[in-house]
Amino acid sequence: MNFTHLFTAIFFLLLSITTKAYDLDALSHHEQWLRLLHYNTESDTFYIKSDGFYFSAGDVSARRELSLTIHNLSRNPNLQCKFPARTRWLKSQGIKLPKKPICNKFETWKKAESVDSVSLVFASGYMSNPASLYGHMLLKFNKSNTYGTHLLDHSINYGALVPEQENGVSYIVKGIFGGYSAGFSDQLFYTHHHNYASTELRDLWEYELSLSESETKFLLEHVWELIEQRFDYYFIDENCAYHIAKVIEVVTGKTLTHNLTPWVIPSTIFKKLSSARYQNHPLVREIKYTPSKSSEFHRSYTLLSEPLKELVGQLYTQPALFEDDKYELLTIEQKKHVLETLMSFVQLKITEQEGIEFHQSLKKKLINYRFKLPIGLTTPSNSIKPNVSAPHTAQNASKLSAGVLSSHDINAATLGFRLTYFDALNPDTARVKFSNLEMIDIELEVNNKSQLKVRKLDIIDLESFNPSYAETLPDGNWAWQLNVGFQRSYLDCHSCYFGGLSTGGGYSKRVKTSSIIYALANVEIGKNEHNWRVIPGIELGILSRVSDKLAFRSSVKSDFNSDPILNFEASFQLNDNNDLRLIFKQQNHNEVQLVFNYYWG
Amino acid sequence: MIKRFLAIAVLGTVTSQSAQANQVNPWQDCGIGAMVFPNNGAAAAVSNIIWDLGTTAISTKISSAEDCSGTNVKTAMFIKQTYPSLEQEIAQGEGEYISAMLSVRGCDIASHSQIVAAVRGDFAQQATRTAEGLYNLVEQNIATDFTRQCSAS
Repeated sequence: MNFTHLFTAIFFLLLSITTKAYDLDALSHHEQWLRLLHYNTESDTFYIKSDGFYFSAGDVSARRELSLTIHNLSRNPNLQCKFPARTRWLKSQGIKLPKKPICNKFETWKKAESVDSVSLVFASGYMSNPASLYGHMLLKFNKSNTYGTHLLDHSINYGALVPEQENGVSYIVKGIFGGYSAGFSDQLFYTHHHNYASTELRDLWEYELSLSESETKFLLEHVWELIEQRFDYYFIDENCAYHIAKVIEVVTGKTLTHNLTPWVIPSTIFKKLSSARYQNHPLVREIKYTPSKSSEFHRSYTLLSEPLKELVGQLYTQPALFEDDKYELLTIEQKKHVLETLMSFVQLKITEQEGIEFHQSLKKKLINYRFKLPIGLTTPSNSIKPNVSAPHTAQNASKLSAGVLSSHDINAATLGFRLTYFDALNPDTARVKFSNLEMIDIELEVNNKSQLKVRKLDIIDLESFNPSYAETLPDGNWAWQLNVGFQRSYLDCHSCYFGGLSTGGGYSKRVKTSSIIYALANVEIGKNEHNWRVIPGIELGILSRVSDKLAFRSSVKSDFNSDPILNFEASFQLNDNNDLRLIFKQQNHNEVQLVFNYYWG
Repeated sequence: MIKRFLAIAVLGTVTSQSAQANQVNPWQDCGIGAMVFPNNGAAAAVSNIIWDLGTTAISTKISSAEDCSGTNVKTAMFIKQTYPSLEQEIAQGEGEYISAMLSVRGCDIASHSQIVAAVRGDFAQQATRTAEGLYNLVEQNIATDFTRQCSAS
């Protein structure tokens, strides 16, 4: 036996004595150890796929990883700089490790973070990108307010590594079924604030967590371990909400991700977060709202008097009126308010790529007029109170339905299931008003002829009516819809089906605060029982939220080949998780359905 | 995206020269002028993912190793990325973005209102306003009147 072998044998002998003293088996099953390793208890696998995170790579197990971690951190103390959270936890369990060396890189990074508290941030849903329909979630380290702004706080984001020039089909298939790596990134918050609130016009909600100083430090140390590690990305379940919640779980031990559902959406995590208690306190200390540029504009416009709203509309179409008494005779505060509102609106249009040249030119004029006025805002953005509710107050996303149906020739019982998320008649609390976002929505009927039939199967059903909230400006009023699915072609034919894609666009107008009328031109492309078909059509309708509990939608739809079909659906909210629907349809014959919905998940 | 990576590559290759010269023009020397930031919904749909990955040089963990990382370069990045908001806030004479920009530049909070007023006066006189023009005005005003209130670049 040479000297090296002798040394190794002695080392492992000492290690085995040490580990026996600390009951390696028990420690390797410790919940916090498993969380630190990002261990999937259900599948007995590990989430992190990159080299360098697990010492036992190739044959990873919690026990082997614990043994090798103690071994490596003892033999090479510099590795404690790479794994500061593991080091802290091992020491807290009584395991003696060499003194932690000075970790320059980590200390520089930690100093830059200089964290006071931690928030989870929710960016509200964004109807223009399918991957953002459900909203986004990120982690924010709040600094002591030495800069006087939260824009320079550090934020930790999780997302998929999507190659440049990726095509849409591949994006969807790999996003859902796997194929992308994913990881955490570390950026100053202004990057996300500008991207979400200013570019994508999404409101932000910050949920500040009630963590102690040492817990915050531990979280920071664990995030350091995770940056640059790679995970597999799955849009449905192992997404941003899931893995950021997992990071919080490492510190709090509170399970935020365990669910009856095999999918994870950010609002569900925020629901659990808001009801969780930790160390005898609510886990969420404070909820803070940051309005998007769109919300800022609408707030500013709403605060204008009616004559000033008229003037804003006139100035937008005839900027020469800035030299007219109508503008000149306003007070300085009124001028400021008018200009702020118009600047916000024009910037919105630039962001939405509408009439770029006109709006750039107008913005320059507005800024020139603003320079002539004294410094100071009339409506500071931090004074804007949300006119929408926080995401955790939204209705549950999944739905089970049971109903009865009667038509001219059959009576039936109906059963339904919807995976996510909301329809246009669901409460619009924490949702985009006058919109519909449903995925995997199926309805079956068992009729009095003992037949079991699929009444409809929507893979995806999107509608955005986007009505204007600023009557004197060309804001919104365009509507669109997209449906991929399978449904009956005609009301009076129980064996006539059409499957494919339906899409349309058109106009909507707000007639009262809570009602809109709309007109859509649409086209259906797909296959019926016999042929592939392209069917143009139109739809006229009204959508109204009569009260907090009552909403209805009525429409007439025609494809020019068959008789128009009249649809009426009213929703009565029984409580947070239940509603009743009365559905009436007419096309040569009548069909009436009463449905009870239960919302869960 | 290609432009962004080229810019980052430029950022990496010119830094040693810049450090030697000690007079970095971030727009030209660090490639910030060529960087592309999202300014519309369609671009954001893609760049949202890009930004979410930490693949850019702005990541604090990565950029600490970059030479082209002085406060003036960070300020230039900030201005380039958030210019539409900054332009409006400077016209109004106050705002969260302009305050954050001056903090990135290393200026005392107490001096922000004075610096903003000075920059605002000069910016109002410019016939053509750009992000680079704003950056130059900020640096000029700091160099002439606010050296003690702001850190060296």
